[in-house]
Amino acid sequence: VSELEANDLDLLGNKCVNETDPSAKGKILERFFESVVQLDNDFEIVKKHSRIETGELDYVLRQNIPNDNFWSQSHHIVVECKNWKEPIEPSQLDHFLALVRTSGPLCCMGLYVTVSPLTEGAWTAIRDARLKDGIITIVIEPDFFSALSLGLKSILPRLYEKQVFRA
Amino acid sequence: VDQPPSLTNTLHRLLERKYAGGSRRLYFSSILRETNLPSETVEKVLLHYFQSGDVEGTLELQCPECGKDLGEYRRLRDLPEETECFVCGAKIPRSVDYVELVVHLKSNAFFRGRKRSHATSVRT
Repeated sequence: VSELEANDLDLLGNKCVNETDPSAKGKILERFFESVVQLDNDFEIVKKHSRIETGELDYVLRQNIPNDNFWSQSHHIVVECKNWKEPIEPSQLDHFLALVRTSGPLCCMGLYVTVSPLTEGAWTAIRDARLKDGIITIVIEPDFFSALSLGLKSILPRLYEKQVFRA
Repeated sequence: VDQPPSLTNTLHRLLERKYAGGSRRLYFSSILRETNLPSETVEKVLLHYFQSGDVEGTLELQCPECGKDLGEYRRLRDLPEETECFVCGAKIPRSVDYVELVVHLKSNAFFRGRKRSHATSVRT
Protein backbone atom coordinates (compact mmCIF):
# COMPACT_ATOMS: atom_id res chain seq x y z
CA VAL A 1 0.00 0.00 0.00
CA SER A 2 1.37 3.42 -0.89
CA GLU A 3 2.12 6.04 1.74
CA LEU A 4 -0.69 8.17 0.38
CA GLU A 5 -3.22 5.38 0.75
CA ALA A 6 -1.99 4.64 4.27
CA ASN A 7 -2.42 8.31 5.16
CA ASP A 8 -5.89 8.36 3.66
CA LEU A 9 -6.86 5.35 5.73
CA ASP A 10 -5.38 6.95 8.84
CA LEU A 11 -7.40 10.09 8.21
CA LEU A 12 -10.57 8.09 7.67
CA GLY A 13 -9.93 6.02 10.82
CA ASN A 14 -9.33 9.15 12.91
CA LYS A 15 -12.38 10.83 11.46
CA CYS A 16 -14.45 7.83 12.45
CA VAL A 17 -13.15 7.80 16.03
CA ASN A 18 -13.70 11.56 16.46
CA GLU A 19 -17.10 11.82 14.78
CA THR A 20 -19.83 12.64 17.30
CA ASP A 21 -22.94 12.04 15.18
CA PRO A 22 -23.76 8.30 15.55
CA SER A 23 -25.21 7.91 12.06
CA ALA A 24 -22.27 9.61 10.37
CA LYS A 25 -19.88 7.63 12.56
CA GLY A 26 -21.45 4.35 11.41
CA LYS A 27 -21.20 5.32 7.76
CA ILE A 28 -17.57 6.41 8.08
CA LEU A 29 -16.71 3.18 9.90
CA GLU A 30 -18.16 1.11 7.06
CA ARG A 31 -16.41 3.24 4.45
CA PHE A 32 -13.18 2.78 6.37
CA PHE A 33 -13.65 -0.98 6.53
CA GLU A 34 -14.53 -1.31 2.84
CA SER A 35 -11.39 0.69 1.99
CA VAL A 36 -9.36 -1.77 4.05
CA VAL A 37 -10.91 -4.75 2.25
CA GLN A 38 -9.98 -3.22 -1.09
CA LEU A 39 -6.30 -3.17 -0.12
CA ASP A 40 -6.09 -6.95 -0.64
CA ASN A 41 -7.07 -8.71 -3.84
CA ASP A 42 -7.58 -11.88 -1.81
CA PHE A 43 -10.77 -10.62 -0.17
CA GLU A 44 -14.17 -10.00 -1.64
CA ILE A 45 -17.43 -8.85 -0.09
CA VAL A 46 -20.02 -11.60 -0.68
CA LYS A 47 -22.89 -10.11 1.30
CA LYS A 48 -23.54 -6.67 2.68
CA HIS A 49 -26.27 -5.39 4.99
CA SER A 50 -28.37 -8.54 4.88
CA ARG A 51 -31.49 -8.64 6.97
CA ILE A 52 -31.90 -12.10 8.45
CA GLU A 53 -34.24 -13.42 11.11
CA THR A 54 -31.89 -12.79 14.02
CA GLY A 55 -31.01 -9.24 12.98
CA GLU A 56 -28.76 -7.47 10.54
CA LEU A 57 -25.50 -8.75 9.18
CA ASP A 58 -22.96 -6.14 8.09
CA TYR A 59 -20.70 -8.15 5.78
CA VAL A 60 -19.62 -11.62 4.77
CA LEU A 61 -16.20 -11.73 3.12
CA ARG A 62 -14.74 -14.51 1.02
CA GLN A 63 -11.00 -15.02 1.07
CA ASN A 64 -8.89 -17.01 -1.39
CA ILE A 65 -5.46 -17.08 0.20
CA PRO A 66 -3.65 -20.26 -0.84
CA ASN A 67 -1.25 -22.44 1.16
CA ASP A 68 -1.71 -20.82 4.55
CA ASN A 69 -2.70 -22.79 7.63
CA PHE A 70 -4.36 -19.84 9.31
CA TRP A 71 -6.49 -18.80 6.35
CA SER A 72 -7.33 -22.35 5.27
CA GLN A 73 -9.55 -22.67 8.36
CA SER A 74 -12.29 -20.38 7.08
CA HIS A 75 -13.27 -19.46 3.53
CA HIS A 76 -15.93 -17.01 4.71
CA ILE A 77 -15.55 -14.30 7.36
CA VAL A 78 -18.51 -12.67 9.09
CA VAL A 79 -17.92 -8.97 9.84
CA GLU A 80 -19.66 -6.58 12.19
CA CYS A 81 -18.84 -2.87 12.35
CA LYS A 82 -19.92 -1.43 15.70
CA ASN A 83 -20.06 2.30 16.37
CA TRP A 84 -21.33 2.21 19.94
CA LYS A 85 -20.29 4.80 22.50
CA GLU A 86 -20.31 2.41 25.45
CA PRO A 87 -17.98 -0.56 26.01
CA ILE A 88 -19.12 -3.79 24.36
CA GLU A 89 -20.79 -6.22 26.75
CA PRO A 90 -21.04 -10.00 26.22
CA SER A 91 -24.75 -9.76 25.40
CA GLN A 92 -23.93 -7.51 22.44
CA LEU A 93 -21.64 -10.20 21.05
CA ASP A 94 -24.26 -12.95 21.20
CA HIS A 95 -25.86 -12.14 17.84
CA PHE A 96 -22.47 -11.82 16.16
CA LEU A 97 -21.13 -15.11 17.54
CA ALA A 98 -24.36 -16.89 16.59
CA LEU A 99 -23.98 -15.64 13.02
CA VAL A 100 -20.44 -16.97 12.77
CA ARG A 101 -21.59 -20.27 14.26
CA THR A 102 -24.44 -20.66 11.74
CA SER A 103 -22.81 -19.41 8.56
CA GLY A 104 -22.15 -22.84 7.13
CA PRO A 105 -19.24 -25.27 7.04
CA LEU A 106 -16.94 -22.88 5.21
CA CYS A 107 -17.06 -20.33 8.03
CA CYS A 108 -15.60 -20.29 11.52
CA MET A 109 -14.15 -16.79 11.59
CA GLY A 110 -15.58 -13.42 12.61
CA LEU A 111 -14.18 -9.93 12.51
CA TYR A 112 -15.50 -7.40 15.01
CA VAL A 113 -14.59 -3.82 14.13
CA THR A 114 -15.47 -1.50 16.98
CA VAL A 115 -14.88 2.10 18.00
CA SER A 116 -15.42 1.28 21.66
CA PRO A 117 -13.46 -1.20 23.76
CA LEU A 118 -14.67 -4.64 24.86
CA THR A 119 -15.36 -5.37 28.50
CA GLU A 120 -13.54 -8.26 30.17
CA GLY A 121 -16.79 -10.21 30.01
CA ALA A 122 -16.91 -9.76 26.24
CA TRP A 123 -13.35 -11.05 25.87
CA THR A 124 -14.35 -14.05 27.96
CA ALA A 125 -17.34 -14.72 25.67
CA ILE A 126 -14.97 -14.67 22.68
CA ARG A 127 -12.58 -17.06 24.38
CA ASP A 128 -15.43 -19.42 25.35
CA ALA A 129 -16.76 -19.47 21.77
CA ARG A 130 -13.27 -20.39 20.57
CA LEU A 131 -12.82 -23.17 23.11
CA LYS A 132 -16.33 -24.62 22.87
CA ASP A 133 -17.19 -24.18 19.20
CA GLY A 134 -13.88 -23.41 17.47
CA ILE A 135 -15.09 -19.92 16.56
CA ILE A 136 -12.23 -17.56 15.72
CA THR A 137 -13.05 -13.94 16.55
CA ILE A 138 -10.67 -11.12 15.79
CA VAL A 139 -11.40 -7.74 17.33
CA ILE A 140 -10.22 -4.52 15.74
CA GLU A 141 -10.30 -1.61 18.16
CA PRO A 142 -9.33 1.98 17.24
CA ASP A 143 -5.75 1.46 18.45
CA PHE A 144 -5.28 -0.93 15.53
CA PHE A 145 -7.08 1.05 12.84
CA SER A 146 -3.82 2.45 11.47
CA ALA A 147 -2.27 -1.04 11.38
CA LEU A 148 -5.00 -2.09 8.95
CA SER A 149 -3.14 -0.29 6.19
CA LEU A 150 -0.96 -3.43 6.14
CA GLY A 151 -4.00 -5.26 4.75
CA LEU A 152 -6.23 -7.90 6.32
CA LYS A 153 -4.18 -10.82 5.04
CA SER A 154 -1.15 -9.67 6.97
CA ILE A 155 -2.61 -8.10 10.09
CA LEU A 156 -5.43 -10.46 11.09
CA PRO A 157 -3.29 -13.54 11.90
CA ARG A 158 -1.04 -11.33 14.04
CA LEU A 159 -3.95 -9.71 15.82
CA TYR A 160 -5.55 -13.09 16.44
CA GLU A 161 -2.39 -14.46 18.00
CA LYS A 162 -2.04 -11.38 20.17
CA GLN A 163 -5.67 -11.64 21.33
CA VAL A 164 -5.56 -15.37 22.04
CA PHE A 165 -2.55 -14.91 24.27
CA ARG A 166 -3.62 -11.63 25.86
CA ALA A 167 -3.08 -11.48 29.58
CA VAL B 1 -23.61 -7.48 -3.90
CA ASP B 2 -27.30 -8.40 -3.75
CA GLN B 3 -28.67 -10.87 -6.27
CA PRO B 4 -31.85 -10.42 -8.29
CA PRO B 5 -34.69 -12.22 -6.45
CA SER B 6 -35.51 -14.29 -9.58
CA LEU B 7 -32.15 -16.04 -9.20
CA THR B 8 -32.92 -16.76 -5.57
CA ASN B 9 -36.25 -18.20 -6.66
CA THR B 10 -34.56 -20.53 -9.12
CA LEU B 11 -32.51 -22.04 -6.32
CA HIS B 12 -35.45 -22.10 -3.92
CA ARG B 13 -37.56 -24.02 -6.44
CA LEU B 14 -34.82 -26.59 -6.96
CA LEU B 15 -34.49 -27.21 -3.21
CA GLU B 16 -38.26 -27.45 -2.87
CA ARG B 17 -38.48 -29.97 -5.75
CA LYS B 18 -35.64 -32.06 -4.36
CA TYR B 19 -37.13 -32.15 -0.90
CA ALA B 20 -40.55 -33.13 -2.25
CA GLY B 21 -38.84 -35.91 -4.22
CA GLY B 22 -37.25 -37.30 -1.08
CA SER B 23 -33.72 -35.90 -1.45
CA ARG B 24 -32.09 -34.74 1.74
CA ARG B 25 -28.51 -34.25 0.53
CA LEU B 26 -27.44 -32.15 -2.44
CA TYR B 27 -23.96 -31.50 -3.73
CA PHE B 28 -22.97 -27.92 -4.51
CA SER B 29 -21.81 -29.01 -7.97
CA SER B 30 -25.15 -30.64 -8.74
CA ILE B 31 -26.96 -27.47 -7.67
CA LEU B 32 -24.82 -25.50 -10.11
CA ARG B 33 -25.54 -28.00 -12.88
CA GLU B 34 -29.26 -28.11 -12.31
CA THR B 35 -29.85 -24.39 -11.85
CA ASN B 36 -27.22 -23.12 -14.26
CA LEU B 37 -26.63 -20.26 -11.82
CA PRO B 38 -23.20 -18.70 -11.20
CA SER B 39 -21.47 -20.16 -8.15
CA GLU B 40 -21.34 -16.73 -6.49
CA THR B 41 -25.13 -16.53 -6.58
CA VAL B 42 -25.63 -20.01 -5.17
CA GLU B 43 -23.00 -19.33 -2.50
CA LYS B 44 -24.73 -16.17 -1.41
CA VAL B 45 -28.23 -17.66 -1.26
CA LEU B 46 -26.98 -20.74 0.59
CA LEU B 47 -25.27 -18.48 3.12
CA HIS B 48 -28.64 -16.91 3.79
CA TYR B 49 -30.26 -20.33 4.22
CA PHE B 50 -27.50 -21.50 6.54
CA GLN B 51 -27.85 -18.39 8.69
CA SER B 52 -31.60 -18.66 8.88
CA GLY B 53 -31.30 -22.34 9.85
CA ASP B 54 -33.21 -23.68 6.84
CA VAL B 55 -30.40 -25.91 5.66
CA GLU B 56 -27.19 -27.28 7.10
CA GLY B 57 -23.95 -28.06 5.34
CA THR B 58 -21.01 -30.42 5.58
CA LEU B 59 -17.85 -30.80 3.58
CA GLU B 60 -16.79 -33.92 1.73
CA LEU B 61 -13.07 -34.31 1.21
CA GLN B 62 -12.18 -35.89 -2.12
CA CYS B 63 -8.74 -36.88 -3.34
CA PRO B 64 -7.88 -34.62 -6.31
CA GLU B 65 -5.74 -37.41 -7.82
CA CYS B 66 -7.91 -40.53 -7.66
CA GLY B 67 -11.28 -39.08 -6.61
CA LYS B 68 -11.58 -41.24 -3.49
CA ASP B 69 -14.01 -39.92 -0.89
CA LEU B 70 -11.91 -39.35 2.22
CA GLY B 71 -14.57 -38.41 4.75
CA GLU B 72 -17.11 -35.82 5.71
CA TYR B 73 -16.45 -32.87 8.02
CA ARG B 74 -18.67 -30.41 9.82
CA ARG B 75 -16.39 -27.42 9.19
CA LEU B 76 -13.39 -26.55 7.06
CA ARG B 77 -11.47 -26.02 10.26
CA ASP B 78 -12.09 -29.66 11.30
CA LEU B 79 -10.01 -30.98 8.40
CA PRO B 80 -6.41 -31.92 9.18
CA GLU B 81 -3.84 -29.49 7.80
CA GLU B 82 -2.79 -32.30 5.48
CA THR B 83 -4.51 -35.59 4.59
CA GLU B 84 -2.81 -38.51 2.88
CA CYS B 85 -5.04 -40.46 0.50
CA PHE B 86 -5.01 -44.09 1.60
CA VAL B 87 -5.61 -45.23 -1.99
CA CYS B 88 -3.07 -43.32 -4.07
CA GLY B 89 -0.88 -41.68 -1.40
CA ALA B 90 -1.53 -38.10 -2.56
CA LYS B 91 -0.95 -35.48 0.10
CA ILE B 92 -3.90 -33.10 0.24
CA PRO B 93 -3.62 -29.77 2.08
CA ARG B 94 -6.64 -28.34 3.88
CA SER B 95 -8.19 -26.12 1.25
CA VAL B 96 -11.59 -25.14 -0.02
CA ASP B 97 -10.36 -26.39 -3.41
CA TYR B 98 -10.49 -30.04 -2.32
CA VAL B 99 -13.82 -30.22 -0.57
CA GLU B 100 -17.32 -30.46 -1.91
CA LEU B 101 -20.07 -28.65 -0.08
CA VAL B 102 -22.96 -30.95 0.78
CA VAL B 103 -26.28 -29.22 1.48
CA HIS B 104 -28.61 -30.98 3.91
CA LEU B 105 -32.28 -30.13 3.63
CA LYS B 106 -33.44 -30.25 7.23
CA SER B 107 -37.22 -30.25 7.11
CA ASN B 108 -40.13 -29.16 5.02
CA ALA B 109 -40.61 -26.21 7.38
CA PHE B 110 -38.30 -24.50 4.92
CA PHE B 111 -40.95 -24.65 2.21
CA ARG B 112 -43.93 -23.51 4.17
CA GLY B 113 -45.27 -20.37 5.76
CA ARG B 114 -43.05 -17.80 7.36
CA LYS B 115 -39.80 -18.34 5.49
CA ARG B 116 -41.31 -18.68 2.08
CA SER B 117 -41.59 -14.94 1.73
CA HIS B 118 -37.82 -14.65 1.32
CA ALA B 119 -37.95 -16.26 -2.09
CA THR B 120 -41.46 -15.65 -3.28
CA SER B 121 -41.97 -11.99 -2.57
CA VAL B 122 -41.37 -11.12 -6.20
CA ARG B 123 -42.84 -12.29 -9.44
CA THR B 124 -40.78 -14.62 -11.57
